[in-house]
Amino acid sequence: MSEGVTTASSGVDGVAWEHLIPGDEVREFAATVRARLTSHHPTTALLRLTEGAEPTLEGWDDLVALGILSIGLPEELDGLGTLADLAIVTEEVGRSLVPLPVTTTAAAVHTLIRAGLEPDPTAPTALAVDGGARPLRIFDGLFAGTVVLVSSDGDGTMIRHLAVADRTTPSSQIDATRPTVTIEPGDVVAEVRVGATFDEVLGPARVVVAADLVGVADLALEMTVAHALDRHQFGRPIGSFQGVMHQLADAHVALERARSLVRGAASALVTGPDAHETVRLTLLAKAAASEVAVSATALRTQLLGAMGLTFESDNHLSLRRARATAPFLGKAADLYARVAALYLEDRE
Amino acid sequence: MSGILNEYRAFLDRVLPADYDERYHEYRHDEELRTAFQAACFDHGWLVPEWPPELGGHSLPLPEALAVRIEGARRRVPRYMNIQSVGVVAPALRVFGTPEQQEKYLRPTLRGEAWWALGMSEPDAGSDLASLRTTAVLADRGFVVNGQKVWTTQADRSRWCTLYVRTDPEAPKHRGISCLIVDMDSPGITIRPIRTAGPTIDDFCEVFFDDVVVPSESLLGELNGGWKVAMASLEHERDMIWINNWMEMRRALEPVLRMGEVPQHRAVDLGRLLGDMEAIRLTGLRSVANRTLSRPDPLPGIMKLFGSEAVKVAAALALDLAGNGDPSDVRLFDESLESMAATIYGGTSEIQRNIIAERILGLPKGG
Repeated sequence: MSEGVTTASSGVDGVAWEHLIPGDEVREFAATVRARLTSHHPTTALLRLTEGAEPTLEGWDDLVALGILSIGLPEELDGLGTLADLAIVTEEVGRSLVPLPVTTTAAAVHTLIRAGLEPDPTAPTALAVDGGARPLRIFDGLFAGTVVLVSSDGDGTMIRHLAVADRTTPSSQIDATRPTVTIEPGDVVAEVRVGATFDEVLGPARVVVAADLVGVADLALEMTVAHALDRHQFGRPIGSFQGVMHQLADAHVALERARSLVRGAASALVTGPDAHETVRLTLLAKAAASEVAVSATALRTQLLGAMGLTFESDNHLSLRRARATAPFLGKAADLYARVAALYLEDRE
Repeated sequence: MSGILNEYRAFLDRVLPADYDERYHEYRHDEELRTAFQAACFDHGWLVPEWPPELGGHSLPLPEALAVRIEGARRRVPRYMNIQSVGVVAPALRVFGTPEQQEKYLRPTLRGEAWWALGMSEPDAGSDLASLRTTAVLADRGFVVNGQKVWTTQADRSRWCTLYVRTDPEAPKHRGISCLIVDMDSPGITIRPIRTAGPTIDDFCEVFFDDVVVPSESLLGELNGGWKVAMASLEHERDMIWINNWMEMRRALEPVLRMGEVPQHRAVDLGRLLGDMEAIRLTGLRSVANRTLSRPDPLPGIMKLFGSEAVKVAAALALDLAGNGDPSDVRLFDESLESMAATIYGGTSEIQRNIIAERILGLPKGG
């Protein structure tokens, strides 16, 4: 990835090829990330967390050193590549089910940048929509030293970057690798009101989280296909039955649909962050990715049969990850309805 | 890039009626306009922009040719009257045709002067096309064809037909098929139009072949190489399919968006369809990116299923929401009916799912 590159060297219809499919450098980097995350965070370790083992930040410094959190940052923050590159690499983070706040920190960091505030991309940071409810519940906030709160403020948006003064972690979690915690906010690090709408401010964060969820779905589908080839009943692989094949084909279409929307939204954020259609694409990307993460992990559960409902199977880890992360920054149905409203406003 | 697009826009402004946008729904069925538009596209090099000028193109590289097509879709340009002649037959002629065949057929085909029927489906060979039973036996005077085709779109108005016939009954079923170019005026051909369920379904016919003699030089591609011709000629359609479905999504959702509001409990459905619409375009562009950068490109395999199913749901939503329960709904009903054809022709959705499972996901052949 060349530094701070935002060129749309070639492409069509306003979309650059390298935003839609990764170039060689980004592909190599993504492969490195996959290898690193899989070897450092094996399924057994993730299962121990689900059983109540104490989470740690072990491996965080490695990932920072690897440069994951520098992707898409501006040049003055030693950034590399674009948000489109970050979306591709974040798919790997999602696939790995890594129990570190990489995706949420990236989402928080890019929200600060969108608001014109300075992030610290080396420190775990959380992001939350502040609807006024107290105490503040923060998704994946276990290690966050600071939290970025976003709230609508008339036509504009308020972004507040606050220190975390105190934190309570409920022992019962859907996804112990991304726990939702309750915090007591502390000092204000920075705050700003911007003229951009709430959805415009959250655009980059939603695309990052959507890319993570596409990774979750990608892993689930890949594992399900492997199982359908391996598992035999009636003397043949269950993947040779059309009742199974057609469900997997539909899951594949849903996955590619979400991936196309994520990459298209990331591309739009690079080439025209303030354009009319960019915010719609970011909403659609997050909606589609939330949907496919939930549906692909549910399909895997069904096709694994009873095995998928055992503790030893890693299946419930994906299911927990999909279910806990999918509603973050907006549930699919709400986001779809929001997009419908935006299109309908155009025609009035 | 923008230079060529501006040139194309100027062309459209010149050839389309001034009130084209306002009266789109009437012009959509205006055969005279559609015929004249195709000829003008050929004459000015906008018909197949990546092809050379003598074949109705501008010799454009793929991305620019695509930009022209996308612009055409945005402007909702008139549909060609006999779409398969440009989308399927002409590409097959270019790849498999002899110089004589290209010389004779390409120009009238592309200009829309002569229509083509695709002689593929038979009463017992629909999704299982390779089991077709129409035979051609090579005799002194040429191939002698006997058999029956069905669901043959526009056969009654076609000049020629690419007819898929069994030329080697002993060979495995895919390897005994040949493609013949048949003059539809030949003695022994009987064409019976089939009445369609509504006016928006393109006319289709039954076609009977009774000792029809086809000159041996009318073979397209190799003897017993017909399956290859069939598969390759559908390949060319891959960008046309997604661009067309993207345009159909915009068209189908327009009556809903024009309402200004929808019931809250249907807003999610509308949003999801808008997601489908954008994803059709972006997946198409990803596919083109793969091909432009010489990467493997499995995406065309999903485009037909994804796009045609989405259009069907969109047309149904439009009928649900924009319909008032009065006779003015007929157009919405007809468009919904039209959308139901696209998940059947050119490989049903069920067959598309098999293909995705087998060829993309690597699952074993189903049963």
